[in-house]
Amino acid sequence: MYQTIKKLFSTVSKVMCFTLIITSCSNDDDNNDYFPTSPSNVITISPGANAQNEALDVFIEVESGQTILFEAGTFNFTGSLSMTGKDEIIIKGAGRNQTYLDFSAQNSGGEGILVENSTSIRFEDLTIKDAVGDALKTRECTKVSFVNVATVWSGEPSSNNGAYGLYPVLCDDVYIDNCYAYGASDSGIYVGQSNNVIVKNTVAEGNVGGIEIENTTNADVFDNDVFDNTGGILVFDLPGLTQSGSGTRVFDNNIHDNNRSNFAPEGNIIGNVPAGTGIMVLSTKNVEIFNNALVDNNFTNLLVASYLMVNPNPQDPTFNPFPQGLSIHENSYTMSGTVNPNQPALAQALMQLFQLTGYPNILLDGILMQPTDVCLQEATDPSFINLNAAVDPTFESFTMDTSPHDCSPDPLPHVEFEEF
Amino acid sequence: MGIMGMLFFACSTSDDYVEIPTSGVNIPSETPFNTLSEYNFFLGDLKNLKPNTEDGIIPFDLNTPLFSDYALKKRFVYVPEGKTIAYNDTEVLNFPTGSVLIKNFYYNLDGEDHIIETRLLIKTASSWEPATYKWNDSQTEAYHSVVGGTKNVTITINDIQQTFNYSIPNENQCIICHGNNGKIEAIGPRIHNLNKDFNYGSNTENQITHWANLGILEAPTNTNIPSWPKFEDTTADLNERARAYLAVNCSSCHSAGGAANNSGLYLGYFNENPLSLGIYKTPVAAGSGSGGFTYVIEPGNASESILLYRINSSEIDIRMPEIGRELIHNEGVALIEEWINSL
Repeated sequence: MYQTIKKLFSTVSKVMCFTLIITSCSNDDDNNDYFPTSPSNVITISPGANAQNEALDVFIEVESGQTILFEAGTFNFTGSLSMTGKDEIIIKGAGRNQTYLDFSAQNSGGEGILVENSTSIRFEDLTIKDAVGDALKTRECTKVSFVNVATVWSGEPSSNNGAYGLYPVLCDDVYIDNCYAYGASDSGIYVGQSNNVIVKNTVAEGNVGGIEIENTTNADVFDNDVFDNTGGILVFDLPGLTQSGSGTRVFDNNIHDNNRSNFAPEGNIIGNVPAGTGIMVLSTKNVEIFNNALVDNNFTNLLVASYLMVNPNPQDPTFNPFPQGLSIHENSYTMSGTVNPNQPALAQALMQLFQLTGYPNILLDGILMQPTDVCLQEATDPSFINLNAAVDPTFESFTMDTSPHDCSPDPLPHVEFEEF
Repeated sequence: MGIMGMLFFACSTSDDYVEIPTSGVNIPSETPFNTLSEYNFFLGDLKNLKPNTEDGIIPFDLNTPLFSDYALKKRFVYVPEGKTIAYNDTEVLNFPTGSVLIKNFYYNLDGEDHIIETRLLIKTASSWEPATYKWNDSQTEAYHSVVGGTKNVTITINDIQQTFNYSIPNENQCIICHGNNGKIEAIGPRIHNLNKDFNYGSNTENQITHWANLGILEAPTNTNIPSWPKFEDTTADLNERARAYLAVNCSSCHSAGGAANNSGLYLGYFNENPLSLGIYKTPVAAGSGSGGFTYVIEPGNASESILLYRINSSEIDIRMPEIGRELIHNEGVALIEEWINSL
């Protein structure tokens, strides 16, 4: 009741309030019904001078089952839009190329839009532009969907851009379909510390990482077009977080031409990703990578590494830095272009070696508990290098022998959940 | 508003929007009042913030307060008559239903105190409800605002004049800082931070003693009541000053139940895990907030620690806390710098 009555005071609904009070007066026997019927299910916000305050207010006052509709046009915001503790809300535009939420004049807040501690939230048909920090963050939400949503930073991608585009973290049942991410200085699509995730039909270009799945369990990443990033699809596990990752399937993706110079601000882990990486797995468990087209990611099409390569002392006794349970099969590999000479320090150190051996389609750092923790079943016999860095940090003991990785674990299960 | 007011009046016998009459102080049972004066917290001119002590409005202070752009603050607490706060010296105090925390934010501008906003936390049966009141320019009244706003302020700090947009939070921003595991909690009033002397006008008394004597706080059974130092008290232990400062300014978000829990950086006073405290911890989602540095805290090297970099910035994509601060807190930065260099 508190929330209901609070609505009477909202600036947006004053006119409605006027009407409803009269109604409630004429029904003295029904004290509990301030609203005789549920209010309109669609709250429409039009572009204009009042749009920011209306949106701020609606994000606070919106009630279960309602849709917040941003009409076609550009909406300018000077601060974050935030929502917390809501249930069954749709935030919708008129289309990805129709409705723009523009945060270029933002002077407060760490993200463009923030949704926390909510259930059944759906973003649809809009573009979030030029957020100062992250574009669209959802934290501790269950059933959160992003459909036909774009996050973009204008102009040539720059380290001054926000870190993440779509940024669900600590969420369950995350559904990302037909989205677009451009220009993020970390990852365009970033799913962190979440469980049950689908990322599909999505285009990521011009980011440092195209799509990143981090410390997440049960994720299916498929039918995406990922190009012109530093690294295409990243599956990472980092220490010191609430959970470790397991059970990611990366399949049927078109991952090509990811050769962009790494423009992540220094100090971020992703700043170590070589320019020209197709898929990278870092320390994660149980990852199945199959049926992807890996084309002209010219440093390496597929990289498997341990967090120990970037930080030899993770400080977290519960963190297992060794990749395990990786199954890589039936992908196609092409490398025909030139390597970007502008590389992070670690990759720079490898270039001398690769100038002799050629740049490998599949690259392992070799920091593994056992060779069969990475299983390879590729039809085309792609070029392969295991740096054997666990044995010899100078990389002089590298090997091109794939036979220790001739194993085929059971396929991982599909990710299934009912999206909102 | 006139017509609406009349309608409310006309309806007041038939709906359940009734004020609970208390001894002078009014606490709404449902939605916050439209104006601050309706609560009867203060006697005489509202802007004088003279507490209605007879009806249970008690002024208080904290050892180490949250930094809010050098705003001055006057705090008051109200606990309904006959009710008592249970004593505990590990968590934030748990207030009885109907309690109110009142925090006034003001600056001394051109020689006069100018109140910008008054924030209330009203304790309901299940949670706290935030309500923010924006003061008018003539300082005669403050009005409930859901969406907050900004106020251009010019102040002189350490002989440097600074003009900035003071930010009055919208209701969801209240929850970002006050949210813990999805519920709203108070941040400041814990025994450690309340355990100090306060000048009540007629006498100066320890606040814990005063509250216990008034009967609004269960009398502590232990004699050794913990307290945090004032963060600027250089005679106190450096580590305790820094940890109290971080606890007050950072840990409402940087805790396991807080809004920054995805970072894995927990800055609560009682956290003894070096990694989650930031020692040699690599950042997770810092973006340009990393400043090019590798660790949140690199012991002995404050100038290359991300924590110091972020509290020492007013850039929107770098600064911490993310909300509630435009200016750099020079004294806080100096303390944390000294602390990291001492590690």
